[in-house]
Amino acid sequence: MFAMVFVIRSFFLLCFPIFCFVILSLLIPAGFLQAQEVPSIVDLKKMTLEQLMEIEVARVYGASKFEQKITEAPSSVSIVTANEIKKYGWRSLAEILRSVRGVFVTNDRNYSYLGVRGFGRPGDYNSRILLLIDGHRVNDNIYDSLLLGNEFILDVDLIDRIEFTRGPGSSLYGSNAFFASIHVITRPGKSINGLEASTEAGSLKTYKGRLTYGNKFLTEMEMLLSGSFYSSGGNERLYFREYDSPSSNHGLAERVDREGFCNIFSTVSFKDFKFQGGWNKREKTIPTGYYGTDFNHPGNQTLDGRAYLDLKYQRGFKNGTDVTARIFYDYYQYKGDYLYSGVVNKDSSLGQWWGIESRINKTFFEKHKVILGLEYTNNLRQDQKNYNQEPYRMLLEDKRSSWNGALYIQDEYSIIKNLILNAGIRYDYFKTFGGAVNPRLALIFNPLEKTFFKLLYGTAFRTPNVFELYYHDLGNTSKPNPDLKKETITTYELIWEQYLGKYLRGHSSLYYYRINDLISQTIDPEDGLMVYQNIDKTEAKGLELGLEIRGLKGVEAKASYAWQEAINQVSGEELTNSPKHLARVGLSIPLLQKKIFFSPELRYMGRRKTLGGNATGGFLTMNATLLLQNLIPGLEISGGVYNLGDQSYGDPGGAEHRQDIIQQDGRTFRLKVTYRF
Amino acid sequence: MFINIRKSILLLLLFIGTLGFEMNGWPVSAQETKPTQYQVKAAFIYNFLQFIDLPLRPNQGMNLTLFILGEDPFGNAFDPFQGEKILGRKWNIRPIRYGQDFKDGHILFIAASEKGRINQIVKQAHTQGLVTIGDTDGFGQQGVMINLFLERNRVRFEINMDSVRNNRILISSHLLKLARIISKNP
Repeated sequence: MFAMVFVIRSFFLLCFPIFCFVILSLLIPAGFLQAQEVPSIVDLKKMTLEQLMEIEVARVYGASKFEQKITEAPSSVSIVTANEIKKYGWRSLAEILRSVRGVFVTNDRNYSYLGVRGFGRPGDYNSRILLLIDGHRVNDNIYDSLLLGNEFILDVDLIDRIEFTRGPGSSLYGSNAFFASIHVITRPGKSINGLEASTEAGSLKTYKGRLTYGNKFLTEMEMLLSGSFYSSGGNERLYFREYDSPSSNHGLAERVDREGFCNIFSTVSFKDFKFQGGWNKREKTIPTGYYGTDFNHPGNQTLDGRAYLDLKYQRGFKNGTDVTARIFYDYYQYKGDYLYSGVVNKDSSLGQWWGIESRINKTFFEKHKVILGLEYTNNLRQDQKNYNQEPYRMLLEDKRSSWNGALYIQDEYSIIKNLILNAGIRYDYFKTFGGAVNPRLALIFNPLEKTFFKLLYGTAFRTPNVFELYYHDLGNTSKPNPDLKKETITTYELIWEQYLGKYLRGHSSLYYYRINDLISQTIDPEDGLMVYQNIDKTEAKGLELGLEIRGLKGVEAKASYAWQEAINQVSGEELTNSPKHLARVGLSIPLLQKKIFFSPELRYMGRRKTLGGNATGGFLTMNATLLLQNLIPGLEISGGVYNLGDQSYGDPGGAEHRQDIIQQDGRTFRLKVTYRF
Repeated sequence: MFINIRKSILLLLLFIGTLGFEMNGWPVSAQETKPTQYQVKAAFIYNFLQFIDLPLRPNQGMNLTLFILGEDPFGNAFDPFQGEKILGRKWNIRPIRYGQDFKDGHILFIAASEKGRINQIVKQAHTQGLVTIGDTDGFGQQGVMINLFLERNRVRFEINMDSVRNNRILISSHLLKLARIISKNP
């Protein structure tokens, strides 16, 4: 019986994409199988009026400077474009996200951690934020983590734009879309139009190279293939006063801040199919001596490898229907070497999963835009392992597999001309946890041409990951808790967006959220072991303000301020690593029309409480980048200074660190040269 | 065992879900990098000019001038059309402010920012023999000859036949066929 069910299941799983395609092909007259291309501007020139009338346009606000989609989205959305990344000289995804309103990033000299709306507890692996690359889910299936620094799977030069959506997104995306979802859209091959080579050198003996080929052929096929490598010597010496004793080199970590990565990324699209694959491997030596490892030893290091393959089919139909189907395979590997009095402890995990998704968008009676979607993911491997190399001792060998499926529906209903109701609900089923239902409701009111109000309500959830459930090291430091439940969040938000004149856009939002059954790392008083428990409750409220200028004689500017207060309801205290104030101003000025840009930016982060009961001071940092482009056709030169004032500042450490505050880099430089052949 | 049945049902749903909607339409375009509405509108305007009989102006020789009045929404959308010829005539595009003289032009695009004084502008433009184009709700009814609008994210246009006739502008029947016609006396 079991075998039979297995066969039926496998049959469906394997046949799913093939069936979809065959049926679609049968239903569509053969002559129309040649999908029409998305016209480039050059194509537009050659088109007849009849052809032009069939083109679907991107919906942008009047002056075509701002996307209208933002104002109609049932949440607060920020957009970062490739142009901004270039002008401000941002070097990693973590650096890009730092520029987003209300977002802060902390770094423990190994990984980068994202904080949103006052929530960014040390020791969390970005599991409460969902990241998608061209719609493909990037969070892994062991820690749910997001790798945002140099360990991010995509070279930042290949990003076309990033949409940062705040608030719960579980009604569309399921688990992990807890505080925010980040959608990264990659550059199309035709934007490269040949070969592009980029090389950069920077402080801390940092070098990077990238070679990208992209093109469009026969109007039906487009491809991009890119590879990068990176190597950084890191800080020659870092001083940690917590280790200032003769036995630990007087607190000096010397030449143990090295980092290197390489990655490959490719997209090939043919007609309605898009095939994408990415692979990244990063190694980093750890200077902080975390988890009580031998301080100042170059053997302490981590390796993160991430890869995926994704085949997507998408087609738009004249009757307003849009169909998307995708099948994917994902891989994640982590290997950590930790030295304890010279004994190498090997900590590792391996995740493999595959899945299918299908989604249909259809407009009914001109007033209802409906999205219906189904998803299925099979976690083939969720394995964790920990052992001592010499003398050999196995501490943990945990092998898991699981699956989950989901069904969701969303309706965007234009009640009257200037009032939209966006309602969505999603049901998720997890083999290990059972079901979860998450609704989202948004009312979008557009009383005047340039004024938008949004009233939002939504819930989201996150299931505990296998790391939180099953990780242990035979009672040395931690123990498992297989009884963990999912954590949930409820959010209320009021948004006011206002366009002022032609160049200015203002944004303000007021929010409140409550988290129940928060999965937190605690120490069991009975045995002193670290264990995850659903014990905390958090309540937070905040205000976010943003002002944006675009297109005024080529000048672009963004300013934002966020005030937030997040309280742990169990202890009554404010959360650790939760700044009350965050502010940023970025300004990009063209010194020579479309050729030379000067882009300074200022960031302020307020004081943050640390785990040790201290606080990091508030600090202000400044970056500035000069970009020269097209002085010689195809050549682009950018020079950047980061932390210009050499401000000394630190980020709160986690429970695994002896350091309560981890010192961050001072002033650094980077020179980058890109040439397009 | 129980779980496997649920899983199979889920997959079946997944499958039916995809087929549930009848795909009786035709593909239009992929969804990813769409042109902006003003890139498409610029292409429309360029196309319109091939179908309208535009008069010569004394100081302009054979050249054609398109004035954009008010807050220019096109950005660089006209860039690909710069240097192109319309029925053998060169054309140029010039932004102007309200109050500036436009009598040397042939076509006047009136931006949404001029909504408040649309009646005066239309009257003045038509007296001076210009073809008027807009892309604002209601401009068609207020006398603008060709008014672009969006319908299901596609660009459409309406032609005010009364304005066209009263000002003796000749528009090809090809254009009229594609347009939504506004007229009080059909």
